[in-house]
Amino acid sequence: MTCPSCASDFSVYSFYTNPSEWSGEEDNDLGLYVCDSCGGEVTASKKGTTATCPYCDSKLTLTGRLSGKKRPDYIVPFEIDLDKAASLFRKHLSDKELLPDAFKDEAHLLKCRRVYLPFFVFSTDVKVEYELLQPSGDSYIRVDGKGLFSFNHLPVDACKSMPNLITEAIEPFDFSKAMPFSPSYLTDCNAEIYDDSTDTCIKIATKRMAKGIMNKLKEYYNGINSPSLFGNVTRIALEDNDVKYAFFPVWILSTRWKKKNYIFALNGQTGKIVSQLPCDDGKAGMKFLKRFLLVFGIGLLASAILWFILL
Amino acid sequence: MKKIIVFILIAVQLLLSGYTLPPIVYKNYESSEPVHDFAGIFSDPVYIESYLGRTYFDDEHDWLELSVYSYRHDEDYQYLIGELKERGIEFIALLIKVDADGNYLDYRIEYRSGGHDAIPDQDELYEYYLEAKPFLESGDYVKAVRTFFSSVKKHLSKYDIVYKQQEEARKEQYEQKVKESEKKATVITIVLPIFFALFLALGLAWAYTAKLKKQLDTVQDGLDPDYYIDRDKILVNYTSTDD
Repeated sequence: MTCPSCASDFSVYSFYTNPSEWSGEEDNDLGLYVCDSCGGEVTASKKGTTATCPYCDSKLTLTGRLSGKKRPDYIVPFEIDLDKAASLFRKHLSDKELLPDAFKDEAHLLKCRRVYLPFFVFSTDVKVEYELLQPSGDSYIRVDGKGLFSFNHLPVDACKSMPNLITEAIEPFDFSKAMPFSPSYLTDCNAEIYDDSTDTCIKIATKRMAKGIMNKLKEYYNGINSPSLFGNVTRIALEDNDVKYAFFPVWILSTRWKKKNYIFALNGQTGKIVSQLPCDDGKAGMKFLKRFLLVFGIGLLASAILWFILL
Repeated sequence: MKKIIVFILIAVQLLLSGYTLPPIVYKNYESSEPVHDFAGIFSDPVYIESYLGRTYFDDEHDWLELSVYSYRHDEDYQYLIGELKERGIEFIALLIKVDADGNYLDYRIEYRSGGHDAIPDQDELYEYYLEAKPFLESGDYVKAVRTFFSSVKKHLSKYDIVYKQQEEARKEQYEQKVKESEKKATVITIVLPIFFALFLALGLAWAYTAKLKKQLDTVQDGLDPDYYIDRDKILVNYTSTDD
């Protein structure tokens, strides 16, 4: 069995518990749907919003799952199509000389998927109290202060299956181009429903805001004092917090190599790509050897010339 | 990038250092004791004749001085004087007392040296005098002087052999040192640059591979959250206290 999200391979037997009855968890995770084209029954995970009919290969948009709180307020439409995405992936991979060849396979590049990822978008005023320490001779000068900052459309990934490290790395998304959500945007797309709790997302947002505020404070005080300033935000409070639930467009290409999953993510709006790619040790060894021989050869040649000139 | 540049500069400097280290070869070696046939001087009749031709006759004391001075500035004696100086001898003089008819009456030997081992001592000089005495008594002063200095020559010849042997040993030692220093110089000027070329190549290859590996991970280039802060709405007031 292969996971449609991350391309991980599993044995069917790894899910085997007791065929005679469903566990409650399994029952909650699965939904039964009817294909609009052929009437066949389709079983699909409740986390996704799309499924493929096993009988007629039609793509189903499971809009029923996007009702109530699960329905996003906004959606930022894709601005990059498959060809452009494949081209960007190709360009991104072209200068990665130590990348295993399996990642550069053209057919594989065309398997990248359009996915709408769920984000909570925070627009809020933030009041902070901070304590900064500035080295001065053998001691420090403490700078205490209060500040008010205003954040606009800070996104926080609400999907557990995508690492926040990656979703934060493909930012920013231009929220000014967000449209009120309509299921029609999900045609031929996968979409994930948020599964991170709002509290978790608020914590992550607060942490990111504190980090951003610290950077701004350092920038602010460095204009007056020295650059070796450090410290932390001692108190942070969100005021007039406006949280929107939105779908952001991401092209995802998952590749499995040496029993490990590697995810490429491409911002479907700006084309920014991030990846954590493996290194082909054989290629790395050859590159090292070639460069070593080249430089050593030049070094010997230079030495010979110097011997000839100086001795 | 800065690290790589610094690394290259250090390596190049080290590479060049192989050529700029001070040479170990003893190029300014000079023989400490040149070997000359010192005794040969005294066997040359020309020297002896001219030597006698310039004898000093002391009217007051009736002493005929047959001497060799190292401090005389006499062109004819320059070579002899130079040789004596080399030996640390200031002078050796055989002084003969004669009567009004030129008959031999008495002798005296005077010498002054810098304490050199080659110089005969009083007893040895007396012995040499005794060899010359019959000729002095017979009035054959030339033969007497020849005999006397011939003995001195023989005496010095023994030391010249020693000097030659010592000089040979010194030369051998010097050649050994030269060989060793050349070997060291070869190591420094050939092996050292090779070693540093190796070091440079390893370092650059490592830096190059590390750079290529770094390209594979682009997640670290994440967006800083201060991007979302509205720059027009920042309000910072601060109070500072010295700690």
